[in-house]
Amino acid sequence: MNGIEVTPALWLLAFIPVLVLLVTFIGLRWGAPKAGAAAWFTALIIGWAGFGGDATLLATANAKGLSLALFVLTIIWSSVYLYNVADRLDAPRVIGTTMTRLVGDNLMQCLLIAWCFSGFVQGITGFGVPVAVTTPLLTAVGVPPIAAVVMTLVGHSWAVTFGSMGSSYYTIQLVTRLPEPLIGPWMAMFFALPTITCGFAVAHIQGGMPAVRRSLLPVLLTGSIMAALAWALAFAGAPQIASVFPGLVGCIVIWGITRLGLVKTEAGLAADGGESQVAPPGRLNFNLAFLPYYVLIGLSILSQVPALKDATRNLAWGLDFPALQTGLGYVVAAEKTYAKINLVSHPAPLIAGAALASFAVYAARGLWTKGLVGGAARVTIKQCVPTSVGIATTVMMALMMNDTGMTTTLAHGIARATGPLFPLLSPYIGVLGSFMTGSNTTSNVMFGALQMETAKGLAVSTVIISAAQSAGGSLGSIIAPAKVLVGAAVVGLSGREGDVMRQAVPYCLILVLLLGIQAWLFAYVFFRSLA
Amino acid sequence: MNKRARLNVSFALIWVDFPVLYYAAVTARDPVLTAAALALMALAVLVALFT
Repeated sequence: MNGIEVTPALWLLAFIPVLVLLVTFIGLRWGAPKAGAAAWFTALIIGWAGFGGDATLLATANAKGLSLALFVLTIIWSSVYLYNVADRLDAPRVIGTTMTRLVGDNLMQCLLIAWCFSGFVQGITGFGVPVAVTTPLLTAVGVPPIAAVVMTLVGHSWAVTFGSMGSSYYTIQLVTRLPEPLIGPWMAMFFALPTITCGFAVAHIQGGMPAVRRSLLPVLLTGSIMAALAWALAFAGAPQIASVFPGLVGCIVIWGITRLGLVKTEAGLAADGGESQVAPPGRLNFNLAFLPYYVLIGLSILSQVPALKDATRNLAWGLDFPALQTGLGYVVAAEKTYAKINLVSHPAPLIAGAALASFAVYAARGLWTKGLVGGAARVTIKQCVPTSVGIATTVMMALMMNDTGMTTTLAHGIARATGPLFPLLSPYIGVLGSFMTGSNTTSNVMFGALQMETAKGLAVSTVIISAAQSAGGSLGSIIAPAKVLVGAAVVGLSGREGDVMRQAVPYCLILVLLLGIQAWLFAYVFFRSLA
Repeated sequence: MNKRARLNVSFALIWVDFPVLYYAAVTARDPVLTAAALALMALAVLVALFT
């Protein structure tokens, strides 16, 4: 395997940094900077002593990690600042109050915001923006901060592969070279289950099993409509909107179900809004409060216009990295403009543009108060410095693991050891990639070919295993530290990321297990003859 | 030094070291400078570990 002979001892060695991160983060409840630092030192030592990475390779991996961290952190800093300004203008309360009026039931609000709206936002932008945008909206409708973060992480995860205008989907298609008319509809069909189970998971986070029972009709109906739409779009050759459109339609269906009174409401709460939850009117109306997000959605759509994309393709920043080799012979490919930050289509300039446009409107409306900009900036720095240290250390650790061959060793070990159970565990390899890098796309780049080759070796459908890889990567977003930190930062939970992770991990493992069972049944029972 | 100050120091060291790391390992390919830049990063991460 690319120079490395995978042995059980080497596999265990490669697993130690991940174990250290999990134990310190979840078990010992260390904050992200401290847990990331412990895992960083572990990866550095094992990468050097066990996997033959020299100083140049390890330094290059760290520089790559910081390039990737910069990509994510610019999104976090800009979205946290935008939220802090909005918060000082009382916008979250106005949004929450309006949502409460429109969709009175808290369960339906959670489904609408965390499951459908976040899927819609993921469809347009991705890269952690849905988590940054929708988590504060959930706290605004009364969801406790930790539950709000977990809900968003779980709720948006069905939309990641076809999200960001289909970037992860196109990656798995390119890596596996499976024809688009074949993989597209199968991928969408494969996602029907997680689309629905993510809805039930959101309901469970909101109110446990009673909420799951209450959500049966809305989740099954909305989820089926969203899944059918995603399939139809993939079949029609438009996979790039197979998250955006279903997410948007899902919002409308949830609102419709509530208005028609098709769901049993919580005791003492009217279907069209509980009066006790309606806060007194402020200076902003809903449209003004939501203005930054309207502008962000508009700019995100605009940035995807092909002519504009082509014209601004070169307005980007990214570093080049050379090919390198470890002492064990593991070859790391060269990278051109790694973790490219496009100055027009990257989420940070879009968020900044949305903020500036909205601030101009607020100023023109006389809503601007003295000290607003500076005050929000001070709070943002206070919130984002710990998050930034946590992200930098964990991403550098992940890149050291990637470039010394540790991550590939882990994946090959799983693939080799599982045999006929491989389809069941195949999505977990996708999860591993997303966990390490925070990206479904990168997970598909790292493991798409490995999954494909393993499937061929076991005479299992490559289409199903490719879909399992990408779907696993999609659901892996739930526990990706980079995304957990984004969610924690926007609702002031810096230092309590471990609590978020502890609640998120079981949902991720269960949802991926269901996905694995589906993959196994598809591969060995229902579609044995599929290519 | 309190926890927040240590995090600020770690944050500053990490991002000051980023261009140094890149220059040393990729542009100059200088093994001594690369080892020094990596050691500085280890120091930055060590500060984060003791927060």
